[in-house]
Amino acid sequence: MNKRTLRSLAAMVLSYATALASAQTLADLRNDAATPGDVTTYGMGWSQQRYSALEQINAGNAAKLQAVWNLSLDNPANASSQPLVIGGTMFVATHTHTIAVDPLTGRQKWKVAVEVPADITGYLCCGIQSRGLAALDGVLYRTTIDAHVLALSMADGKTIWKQKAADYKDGYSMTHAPLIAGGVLITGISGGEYGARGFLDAWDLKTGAKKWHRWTTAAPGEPGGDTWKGEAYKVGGAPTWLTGTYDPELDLVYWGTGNGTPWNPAARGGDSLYISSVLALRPSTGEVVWHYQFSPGDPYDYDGVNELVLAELPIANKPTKVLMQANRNGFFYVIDRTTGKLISANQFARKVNWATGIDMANGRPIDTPMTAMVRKTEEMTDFIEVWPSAFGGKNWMPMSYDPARKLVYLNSIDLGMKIKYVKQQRPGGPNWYLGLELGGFVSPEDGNRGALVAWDPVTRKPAWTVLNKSPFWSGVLSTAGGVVFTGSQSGQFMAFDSKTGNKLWSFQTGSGITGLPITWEREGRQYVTVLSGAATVYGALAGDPDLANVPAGGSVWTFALPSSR
Amino acid sequence: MITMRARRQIGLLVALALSAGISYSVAWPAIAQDAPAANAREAGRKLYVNACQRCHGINLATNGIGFDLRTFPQAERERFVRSVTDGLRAMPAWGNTMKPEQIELIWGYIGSVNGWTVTPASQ
Repeated sequence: MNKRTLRSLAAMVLSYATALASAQTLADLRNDAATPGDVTTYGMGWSQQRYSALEQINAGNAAKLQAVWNLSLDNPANASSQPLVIGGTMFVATHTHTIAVDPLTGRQKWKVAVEVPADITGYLCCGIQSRGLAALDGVLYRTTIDAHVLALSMADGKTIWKQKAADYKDGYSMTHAPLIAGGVLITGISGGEYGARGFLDAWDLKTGAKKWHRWTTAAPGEPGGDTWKGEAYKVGGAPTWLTGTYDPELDLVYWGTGNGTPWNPAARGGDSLYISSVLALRPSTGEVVWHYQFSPGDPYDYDGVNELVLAELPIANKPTKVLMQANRNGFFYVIDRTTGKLISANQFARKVNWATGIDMANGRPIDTPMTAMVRKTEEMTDFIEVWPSAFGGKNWMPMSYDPARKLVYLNSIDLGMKIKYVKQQRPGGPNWYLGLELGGFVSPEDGNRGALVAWDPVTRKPAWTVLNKSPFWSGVLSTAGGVVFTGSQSGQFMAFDSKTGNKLWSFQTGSGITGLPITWEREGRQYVTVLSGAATVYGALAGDPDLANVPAGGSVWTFALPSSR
Repeated sequence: MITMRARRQIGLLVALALSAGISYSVAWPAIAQDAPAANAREAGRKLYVNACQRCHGINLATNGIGFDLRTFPQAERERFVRSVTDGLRAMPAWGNTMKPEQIELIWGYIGSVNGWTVTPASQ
């Protein structure tokens, strides 16, 4: 055997070994939350609880956490992504690259470019983001900001298939991680500020062939078609811009929809189904089994797209399969996910002036006079001050549910906004289509524009609250060790005591944190990884004085307790 | 009598109306002999609100994403036009979707917010 043959053989063996190491099955996805060594799904489990059973790092020793490594993403965008850790490799998505990393050393294994057009960022409403990946059987799946879906080899990042979901010049983009459920790959779409019509797509995992397509605004003749003025549904929004959750026992996917376009509700008329809703879908067919609309007509860009976290809660002393959402409209919803029946909806935002509550008889908000006026006034003469603002009582940064303590940990926002609705025709191109004048944002009197809140979804009140000057724009992670991790927009990555909210530890990273922390285990050592890098729409618009002089610049950080070896 | 400056502003507004594709049903302010600068500023502001504000902030006040235009040097108009047209770092290339006249109106709006007494557009 000559040297060349030997080298080829060695390469084949190495390739096979790599493939084996990254082999992964549907059972791995289903059990992600119960197998804390790796992270195979966006949300750390199909339920997106972002909870880990690991407890090596605990409330007693978290103060000793140390940085293990840092990897530059060479990128000024939001590093708002959640890595996966599969078979000894960490995978990270940015808007320009897909990257494989040795999770123990932080050294890059491979980095493959995503080609996007030069004018695409004009079509992104709220900063540049790529929030994550799906993975199965040695294949990574991701979306691109110019609205394509990609399947890549885990071994080397080579493209297996690529499909165009929509034309970005029609206002479409994609920033979320896909979901694998019911044997298909499901993706949503962004574009609610541009007059895009929302939809969901399902793709064949192997070939990329489209399996089904579901519009999320109702056309005339369809159920809900009479909730729109004229042809407003064609440019009516309801974008599906975050990743849904999946209950494999009920075989239902839960996917939230975003705002109506324009934001101006009187321009659209009526409830504008199915904006600002949760859709429960059969993943194999796209059939909508039930829906619930959080904010009918969505008068203030509240969306319904925030993460829909699945859990089992004791409701009336009976274990009940629920989904939970801290909606931008300021109310925390608990819904029976088998039937779609609303169980509770309670104010979690500190100040709400658009509705006095949610009517439990019909599930609809009880409008204040201001909102009643807004719904019928397409052209306003004066500014109004609305709480919460369009940033919401909580924005997209996902919360965590701790099933041991039965508490949700979420990053809330406390801001008002001054707006005046005006008539506007859809401008097209990379221009916003909101139908309003945005006069600015208003801070609360005490200057605390956000809080980390431990929310009890059964008693429907906070267990503890940690106020902060600038709202945290990072995901939340909780662990069996009694630690809650999240990051600040000024760059601190922090650990809090799950029981009390006391801050246990913090570390200053190089930019603001918009990433989604994960924890994983390798060779008996627990690690925590988060991406740092902020260039948020909040920073651009909110006028937050505490965020001056926070530079952009994405990187990956990994932390652990000091090694005993 | 309409001055040369006013004629130029009117020309810009007409070009904008024809090419911008941004057509609020609110009528453009009537072009009066004594208010062309105000009209151009409002046209520039509306362009800014639709295309630029989400990264560069309300009234140019920003702590993220976009360059802080409050610090942009008045003397570097060509650099501004080049950055908007071709894009720079996270800034998209607007050359395919925005006309030079529109970029000029935005430049004028930035100058008005920054208190530049004489903007290059009106020189």
